[in-house]
Amino acid sequence: MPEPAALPSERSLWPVLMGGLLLLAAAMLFGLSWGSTDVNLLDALRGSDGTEWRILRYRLDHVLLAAVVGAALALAGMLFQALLRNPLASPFTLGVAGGGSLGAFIIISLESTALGTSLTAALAPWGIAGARAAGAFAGVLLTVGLVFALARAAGGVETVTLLLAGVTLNFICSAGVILIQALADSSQTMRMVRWSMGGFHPTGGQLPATLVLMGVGLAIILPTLRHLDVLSLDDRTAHLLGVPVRRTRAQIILGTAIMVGACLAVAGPIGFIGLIVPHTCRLLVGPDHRRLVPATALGGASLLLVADTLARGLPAHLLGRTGELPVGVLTAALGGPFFLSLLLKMNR
Amino acid sequence: MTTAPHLACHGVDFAHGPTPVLQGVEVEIPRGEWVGLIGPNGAGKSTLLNLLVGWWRPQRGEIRIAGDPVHRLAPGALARRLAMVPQAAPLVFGHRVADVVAMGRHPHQGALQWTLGPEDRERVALALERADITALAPRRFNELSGGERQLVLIARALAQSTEILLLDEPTASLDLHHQAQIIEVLARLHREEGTTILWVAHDLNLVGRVCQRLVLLAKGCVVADSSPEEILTAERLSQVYETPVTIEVTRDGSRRVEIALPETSHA
Repeated sequence: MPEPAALPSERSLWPVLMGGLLLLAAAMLFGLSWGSTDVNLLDALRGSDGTEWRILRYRLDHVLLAAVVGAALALAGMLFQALLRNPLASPFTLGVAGGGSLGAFIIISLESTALGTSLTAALAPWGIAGARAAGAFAGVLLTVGLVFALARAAGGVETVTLLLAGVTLNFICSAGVILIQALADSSQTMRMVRWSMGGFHPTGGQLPATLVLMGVGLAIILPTLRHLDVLSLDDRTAHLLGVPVRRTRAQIILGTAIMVGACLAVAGPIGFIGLIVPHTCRLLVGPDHRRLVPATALGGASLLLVADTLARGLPAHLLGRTGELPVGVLTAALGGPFFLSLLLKMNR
Repeated sequence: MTTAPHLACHGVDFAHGPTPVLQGVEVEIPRGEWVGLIGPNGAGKSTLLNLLVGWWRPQRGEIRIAGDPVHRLAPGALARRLAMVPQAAPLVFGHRVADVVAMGRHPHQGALQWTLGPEDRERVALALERADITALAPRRFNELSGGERQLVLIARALAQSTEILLLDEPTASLDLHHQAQIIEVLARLHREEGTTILWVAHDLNLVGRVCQRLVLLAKGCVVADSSPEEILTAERLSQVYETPVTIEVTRDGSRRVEIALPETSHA
């Protein structure tokens, strides 16, 4: 036997892990130290009255939610890009955005009715936000379940069928969204528009509920991660290389639907992260999923965390006014130019 | 020691919807034999390959590997016994050659293993060396020529370390140098490892020279199954391919198949 060659597939994982963890730690420190008020981390830790401590708790909820949602959206995008072999796939490709929005909008349109009031009471202590989140989550799971069932009924869950069924259902759900908006009064319309902009508004039970759902989704996805390189070739080749293709595909779709449903429920639709973070990480660490998975998760968490922190703090610091910017604007503003510059540099 | 054929189809019927593609296909390949599967376009060769690798399941009949029904084997167990070289392999993401060849070790890795072990690395290095593409290892697969890509796919199948190798027209659209290189790799594998090879090909002259046995498929049925000398006759090929064919016997006894073209003005 010849001496083992230095294989590119043996590129070390440690620089990716260390770099990603350092980036995330820096982003967390920024998120805890900066905000709309001039209270930094040291002030908060030393604070004698409870105000600084409450601010720190508020920031901590934001930081943890943004990190978990960012990691989940980026991972979901990476999983769908590998599964569908489509660089343009994102977490919302299989009709998730339309289904989630429809679910949330149905709840918003019911909020002033008797049914809405009793639903909100039933979901106490999570209240209105909890009811909307439950609507969005149910919308996502129903849509993805329907996409999967349609693709299966059309003769096997083929990639193209899945994509077409997802895009079609997204259109149908979007039509429902437009209909609900057209019938809504101005106050309801305003709430729907605000929900569509995405953002974090932490309430008591959001973080534990999100963490539990993410844990369930991740547990379903974890065994499939080692198949991703082979699965990104084509279905038959993946089968020839020992991957149980149908089972793996079902696991990825179910686990991702739970994770993205939780993201949509807690933060509304935040685009861009799931599309661009996996591509940026591919350019930086290569397409090997052993390195790409941690890079994407840590990169997505860091980007959304920084974007959310800026979205909270910028209006006060730049405009001298209260309120928050939509976090999606910041993720695109931060990540877009970085990705484009990387793309130009790599192709030069 | 098992006496069952290494690869066997028994009474295999397969149809795409109402259209029958294969009917009553009966083929047995003993261990260590190099068999060519030939036939006109649409004869069902690629369909038969998809059935042999367990990707599709026949409506009737059975496929067996060393006596074990293919559909009862889990994908991982099947991939440790049988490898296939496809005609082409589109790659969406920019994997490097060594990564693509290393994917051949995937069926040998445990459920919790996400890195190559020492044996995996040795097998990958050996496969790269045997296919003579060690120098290509750091290059991106999508940057390679058609011939080089085919060699990478063969190396991936070699890294899979199986007893059976199926090849779907591996030399189609390749230049003479790459054809010779691929034949050399396969001949060495057959000679040194005793690998059972089933080669689907349109190049009758090539398969006639390298294969020990040919199976001729036409309209979904096996119409002949014998030595190249028996199969490659002008009468049989003219009838099956519906084209006038002439056969020339060369000095070494092999057959040279030519299409009987009409006279042209510049001939």
